[in-house]
Amino acid sequence: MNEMARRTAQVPDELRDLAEAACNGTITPVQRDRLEQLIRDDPAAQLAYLALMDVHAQLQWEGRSGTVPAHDACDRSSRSEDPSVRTSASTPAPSGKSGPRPRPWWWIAASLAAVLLVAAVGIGIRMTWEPAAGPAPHIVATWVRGVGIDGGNYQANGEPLVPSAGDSLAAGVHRWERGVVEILFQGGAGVIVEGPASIELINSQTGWLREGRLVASVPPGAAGFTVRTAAANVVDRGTKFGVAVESGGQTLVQVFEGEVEAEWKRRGQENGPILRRVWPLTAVQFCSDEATLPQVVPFEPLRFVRECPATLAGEREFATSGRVSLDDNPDATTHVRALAARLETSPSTALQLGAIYGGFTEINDLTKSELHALVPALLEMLTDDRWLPAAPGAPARRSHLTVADRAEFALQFIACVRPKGDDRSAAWGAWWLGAEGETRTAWLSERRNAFREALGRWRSGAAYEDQLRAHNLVEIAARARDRLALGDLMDVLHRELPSAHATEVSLANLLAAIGPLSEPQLVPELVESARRLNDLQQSSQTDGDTVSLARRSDTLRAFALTLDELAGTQLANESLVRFGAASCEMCWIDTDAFDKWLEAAQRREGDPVFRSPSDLPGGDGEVEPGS
Amino acid sequence: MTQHNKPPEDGSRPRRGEARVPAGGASVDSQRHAEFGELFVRNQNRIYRYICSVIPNRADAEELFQQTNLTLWKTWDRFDSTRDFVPWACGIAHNHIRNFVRKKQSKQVVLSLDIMEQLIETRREHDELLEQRKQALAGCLEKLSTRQRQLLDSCYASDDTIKAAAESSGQTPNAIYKRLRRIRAALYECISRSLLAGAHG
Repeated sequence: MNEMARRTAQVPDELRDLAEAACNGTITPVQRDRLEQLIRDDPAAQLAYLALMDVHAQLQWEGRSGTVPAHDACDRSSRSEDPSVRTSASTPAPSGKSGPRPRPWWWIAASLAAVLLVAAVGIGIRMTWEPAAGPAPHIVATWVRGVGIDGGNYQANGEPLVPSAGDSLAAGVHRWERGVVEILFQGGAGVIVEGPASIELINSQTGWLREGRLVASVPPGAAGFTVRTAAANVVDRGTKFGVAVESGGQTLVQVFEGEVEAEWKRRGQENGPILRRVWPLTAVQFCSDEATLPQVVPFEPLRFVRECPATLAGEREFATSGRVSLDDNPDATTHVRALAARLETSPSTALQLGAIYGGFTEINDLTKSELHALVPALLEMLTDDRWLPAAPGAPARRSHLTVADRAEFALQFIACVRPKGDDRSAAWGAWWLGAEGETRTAWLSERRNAFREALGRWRSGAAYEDQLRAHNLVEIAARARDRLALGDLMDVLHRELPSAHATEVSLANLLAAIGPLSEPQLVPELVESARRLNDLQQSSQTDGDTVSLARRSDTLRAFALTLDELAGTQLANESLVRFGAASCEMCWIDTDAFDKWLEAAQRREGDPVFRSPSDLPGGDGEVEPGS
Repeated sequence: MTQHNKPPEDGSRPRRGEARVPAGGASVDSQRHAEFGELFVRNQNRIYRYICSVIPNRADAEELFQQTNLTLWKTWDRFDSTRDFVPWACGIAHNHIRNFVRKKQSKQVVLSLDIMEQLIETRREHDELLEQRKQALAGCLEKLSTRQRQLLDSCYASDDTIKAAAESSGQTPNAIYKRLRRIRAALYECISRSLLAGAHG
């Protein structure tokens, strides 16, 4: 080792110059040729070159992780007021504790800062650090608003004072029991935090979430905004993401749009922090226990409150986290109805909050009787004036939901009650949706157009909302076993397929959503779609470009796997016919397999799809929709 | 009742134009998968540095890194756990780099393929030394002045080009290059010294 170490110690200037040019991206073809001449067939020179480039590579790696707290050093604000920079500048590396390998300096600084801050919180010191120079406390954020805050349970920097809209906030801890708070950091990032919560404002680009759920919206100028938690630090790159600190100390990170990088902080860090990207439309859970690896968990669009409601139904009725808590309120029906009556927010928020208040994400915990108590109120909401479309010719009020929104709401409702085995409620939901009525037709054509539009925007480079809409639509339709809706959506997708690679991506993702649902009724629609794609693949084999063929192969593989899931077969491997060079993994599906899938699906048992309450064996429902 | 399988594993990011392969219903050796996951996560840095040392451009390296990760996840069950993970993963990275260079997908001036082959071979042979050097870097960064670290941050930690960093700090790009050169040289020397000293404790 020493011998080689010595050989790399001395580097000729010319080699260094050329390596520098490569790092800076300024290297000319002439320089490149000279560089190659210098190192060709010379392992020692190559090693020196690699060692030089490795410095750049490692710096680039650390830069990419974004956990460098010296972002603060680049702040406009005075450096001396910033605790994490002060700490890093003045504190030497701790010896012994970190083990034989030296730690990155910024990690040491951050962990020391954390230790000091935690200690300070523990003994109740005011969190605003006295600056070395200047009397004013360091302003890091602005209070935008709070909704449902009970003055008695809010604490800012240890003082029971609820800020007012527009107040400047100094670095410090804000803690509250109930309500939703919106804070805008000076660096540009905005957060919406749901109580019970405790968040520490560290600087203009950093917050520490000790408890609660937070959604961050980070415009591109504020990239690098960091949310710290006990189990992970999440650094943003210009995105929208949510962070929840759960009661067991785990941190859940869910990305809506863009990407974040999470630094997993484990106890007993023998190998240094591990960085993990979290992709859009995924959620990852981190534990501070070293033994439990970060885990991908289902992405749930409704997990977070993403908009601060404009008004509230009165503090007592604002259930914590916007969820109906049946324990506190035995008369859930009244509760939901009351909330519905007072929602004056925008339709999308109404839809979302309605879904939350309806406990859609929690509905699995409800017993059947509790569910029945909720159902009338929910169905009533669906037929409430606010939720009806404007009469033809009349100007639409802002609070009117579109038919599509209402239908989506209904489908979500169905999707949640059906797994509980509550077919009756599901039937009423489906009835409301209307198998043959105007509602359904209007919904379908509206939905179809919306879906096509969403795909079009996605293809041209737009964002999360469209992906999510597409993802939601098919997932909801699938969960609700709404074959007709699903068929229509797949049909739209299909017409776009030959031209849009992005559509293939969405298709593959949507298949991933359908796969686990094990609904054999969906097989015919999927087979139809798969056939079309397959034909295209087969016919493009000779003249298609490699990239399209490869991507389409991936989608076909996804189809095969999903069809296996739905039909309960294991045909995927043998049904894929490979072509092209072995390394390219291009394939299509053997058409015999389609028939096998159709056959297997038919043989599988499944519940019939309800189209109206009269489809139910015996009886008209005890539950009636609103008039 | 419907049963929800685990969603597809991380790493298979649904990038535009690349389909994500859903986790199939076929039986999965979850132990192997967990081990693979651990190896994958732990060696991200090494794979990235491998790519970056021959393709120094930030955007290109990132693109190749993502492609490599995607392939690693899609072909994880082909990984023979009796072999070393890093050479296998770097081999996959190398394939992507080769395709990348062949298709002239970069705007940058890149090394020719045969030189890259030689570099990759040399790297494989001296991987441990390069790892030691990388570990020494952390300690060497601490020895830089705050100003020097600020410059590194503005050049590495943001998405700005050096030109933009130069403009915002009121210097010419050339001045920045000179300062970077000095800093990188200082780091390099420090690392070399650490390694030579390290043999003695």
